[in-house]
Amino acid sequence: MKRPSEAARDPSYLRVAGWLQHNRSVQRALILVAVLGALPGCFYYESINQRPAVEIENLDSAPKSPGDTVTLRALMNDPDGDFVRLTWRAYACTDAENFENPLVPDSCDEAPFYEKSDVNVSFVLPSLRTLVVNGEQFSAESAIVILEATDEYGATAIPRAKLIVPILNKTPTIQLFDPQSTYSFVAGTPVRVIGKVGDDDDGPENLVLTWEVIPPIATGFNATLVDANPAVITDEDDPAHLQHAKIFTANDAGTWKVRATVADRLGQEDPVAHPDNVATDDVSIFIVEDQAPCLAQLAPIVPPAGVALPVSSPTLFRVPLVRDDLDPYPLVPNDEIFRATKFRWSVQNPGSPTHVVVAGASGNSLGLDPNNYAPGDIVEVRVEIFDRKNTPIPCPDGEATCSTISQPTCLQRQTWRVEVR
Amino acid sequence: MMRLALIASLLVGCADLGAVEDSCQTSLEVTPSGTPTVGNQVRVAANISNDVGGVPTIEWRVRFGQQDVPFSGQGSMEIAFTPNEPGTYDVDMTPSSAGASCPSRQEAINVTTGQPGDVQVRLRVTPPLGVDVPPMEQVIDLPAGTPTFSLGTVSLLPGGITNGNVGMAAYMRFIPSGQPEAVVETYAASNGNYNARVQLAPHHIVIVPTDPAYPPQIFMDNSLTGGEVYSLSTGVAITGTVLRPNGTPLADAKIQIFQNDTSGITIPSTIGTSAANGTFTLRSFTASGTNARVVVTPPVGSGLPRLEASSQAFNFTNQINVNYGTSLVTRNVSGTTVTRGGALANAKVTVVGTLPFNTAGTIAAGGSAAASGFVRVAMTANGSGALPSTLVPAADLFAVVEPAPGDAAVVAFNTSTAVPSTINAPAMLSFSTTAKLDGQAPLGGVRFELVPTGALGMAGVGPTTLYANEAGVIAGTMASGAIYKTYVSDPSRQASPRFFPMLDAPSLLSTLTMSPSLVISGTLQVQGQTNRIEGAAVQVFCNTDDLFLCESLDRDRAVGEDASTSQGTFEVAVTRPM
Repeated sequence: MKRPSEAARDPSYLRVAGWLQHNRSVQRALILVAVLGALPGCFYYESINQRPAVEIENLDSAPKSPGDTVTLRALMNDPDGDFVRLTWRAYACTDAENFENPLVPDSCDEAPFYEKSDVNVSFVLPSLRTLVVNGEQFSAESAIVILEATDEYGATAIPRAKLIVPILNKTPTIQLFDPQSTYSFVAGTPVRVIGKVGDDDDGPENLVLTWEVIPPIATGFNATLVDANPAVITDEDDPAHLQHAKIFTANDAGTWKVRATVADRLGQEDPVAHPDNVATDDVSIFIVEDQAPCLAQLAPIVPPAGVALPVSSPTLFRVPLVRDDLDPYPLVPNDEIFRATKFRWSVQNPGSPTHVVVAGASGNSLGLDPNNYAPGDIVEVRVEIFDRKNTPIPCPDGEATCSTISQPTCLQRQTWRVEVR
Repeated sequence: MMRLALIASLLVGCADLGAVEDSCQTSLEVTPSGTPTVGNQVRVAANISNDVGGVPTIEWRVRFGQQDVPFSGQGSMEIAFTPNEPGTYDVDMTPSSAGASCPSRQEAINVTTGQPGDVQVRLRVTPPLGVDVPPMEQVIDLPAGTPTFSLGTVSLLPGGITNGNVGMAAYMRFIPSGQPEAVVETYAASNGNYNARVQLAPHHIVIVPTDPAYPPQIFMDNSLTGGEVYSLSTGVAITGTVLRPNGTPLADAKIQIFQNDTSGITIPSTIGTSAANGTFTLRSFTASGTNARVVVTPPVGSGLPRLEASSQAFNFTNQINVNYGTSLVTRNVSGTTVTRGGALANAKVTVVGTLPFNTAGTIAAGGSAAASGFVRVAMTANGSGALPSTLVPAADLFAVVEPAPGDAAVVAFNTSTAVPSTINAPAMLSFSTTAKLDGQAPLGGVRFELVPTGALGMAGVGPTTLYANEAGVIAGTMASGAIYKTYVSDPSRQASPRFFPMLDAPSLLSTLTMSPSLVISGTLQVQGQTNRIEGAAVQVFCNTDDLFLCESLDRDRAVGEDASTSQGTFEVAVTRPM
């Protein structure tokens, strides 16, 4: 307890005196105390209450982003040892430096996003302010924490403690996976492109993804990029990311590029001012022309040049397998794009100058009955295959094999030279 | 430094002992073993050995198609479920325990109705080039009333390379014991050298020399270990004569005999050609084979039928005497006009038919047998539709008229007493039918293959393949008077294949009812390897059963087929036994 003389020297006394001048009830109480104290013959009075002082201690000064936790502690001192009630308020701001600046009225939200009265507090930084302008909600780029301290007599620390916490918006991420094609990346067929996006503070669902197709050359090439079904894929094991699926269809062969750009809220608001809040990835897609079908398996064995296959019983000449990107045999079932190889069979009978097409025989096999021939007859059975391009087979009738792409390993014509025995 | 390395290696060794990632082995045991049946509980137990992580936690999943199946015992070493539908149930078992990595296991459990299917099919797998495995074939018993049937992992044996020499250029066919249709074919080069990858099993080897002086021959080899030498002989000379109906020699007839060896494989002889005096000589691997058959093909223009006779009594140490029937006469069809409304210019006409028993002739070689007579005489009408001067036997025959490719008609052509003056060839008959699954839902894409048989087949007319449109409608034409073997299959694998041994346009109903299929699935792998086989031809063929006439070409005509995927998997739709 301070003595009057000490009080007179104490600068805080002057502040208390000033305060008393404005507080009539306290003045009256002090007068009463003085009168009562004088009655027994001695003078006694209560000391004048003093303001508490308060500061904010930031227990984790690491850079913070939306969703991060801020942990603070109040450092307070009440000269009178009074109980001090604390009031924490945290406001989301665009620019916390201008908090309560009347010249910049919307710098911070009017309402705090956090309030508490404890000595130690922690709260999560928001990503958004509550302020809505023209239906648009603004990102929280900083927060200001206000700490007020009031003792049990209502004396409030002046000034209030303030702490500005910059809110560093985290960079969104995008990863384009390798494109997938069931159809060997043939022009005109769908290619699945998946972009995996994430943003640790804004969340993957609040990102805006834009796609761009870059053709092999600037003009004359057409492609579409549409949403897959489903367009967005969630992974229960990875809730921090979303996968956006697109179907890319190019009508022309070449090296295409698909680029995806993702922007979080800040990046959308001002991508120039916030370049780190925009991320881009791209993937190259090598689109090829529809390849020629290839005879992959034949039965029975095709004899070497100049040799005949001896046939003495009815024989089924067949093509069990055709290798092709879009028109294989056997047909891939239940698919809207795959179709089956078309077969053309022809026979060169003894005495015939050329192979004659067997009309209607478009299946993968043709039977030959040696009983329809004389023993020793040489008959040629020929199969030719076509995919949806129906590329004509250019080789002369006399050539046993033919490859439209000049690849001996990929034939579209094969001929069995058969000897009836 | 070396000491450090040694210590380090010991430490690594200790670490490996601790990890034991590869030492944990898992398997599943299904009870009841064999094929469980609908309505009866199935138990699946996990066997886990060398799991140093202690008692593992096991996650189970049971699926039927795309649906999860309820079961008891999640998390434990054994689960139980009761299947209420026949088909394939997929069980996944994923163990997890601290400090160990035990592989998960999958098991496809076939649940049947318990009714016998009584249907067998042959599964043939032909690996692609680059996979050093010979073809394999196995017989599968199909269960009744089951939509799916998993073969699990189908392991192909790598076999081995056989090479050797046969002394001359030749066609070679390796026929493995137990899988007579999983043949491997190759050619011996002009120096006689050959090689082929075959199964490590006893084989019959049929060798057909390119030199017509050498008869085809057959060898048995129990172990094709390489370096085989097969000495080809000129075989046994067999002689005979061919006489016309009037008893005069028939020149330029081709004579061939077919005999089975002791294993039942049919081996033809060389081709003998009769001389002006009717005599011929041919060569065969033996003179005393079983199921002997003699085929005599007369020269073109003779008007005589092809003769065929089989007899157990044939003994080719005796001369073969071929005598055309004395009552057999020929007639010239010159002047007969082919019409369809008007004359059909340049129509191709093939006169075909079979002569009545005992009229065509006889063939004797020791024993004697009546020969069957087959007629197939081809000609082309002139610009006025008139047939050229051509002899045919006097008999109740058919004329197959082909005005243009894809256009044909079968017309009765009875020359028994006289040659008809005209052959009126009706136009193709249009037909339309709608393929429907269970007679209800239209099936688009169904393949409908018409293979001529009877007279049309004898004339050598080719097959026609049609496909149903999206509404299941199959529309096309068939030759008037013709019958076809008809093969119907559904590339979407929903429906069972169908087979009509004799179909003509009038008898085809407006709805082609297709019943649900049985889908056989599996995964191809080379035995002893982990890699799956991609791009193999997986085909299912008929075997001996009552659903297909499984003979001749039909044994090689796949009822269902697929190509194995990059994961080695395949699915083939076949007829579901009921």
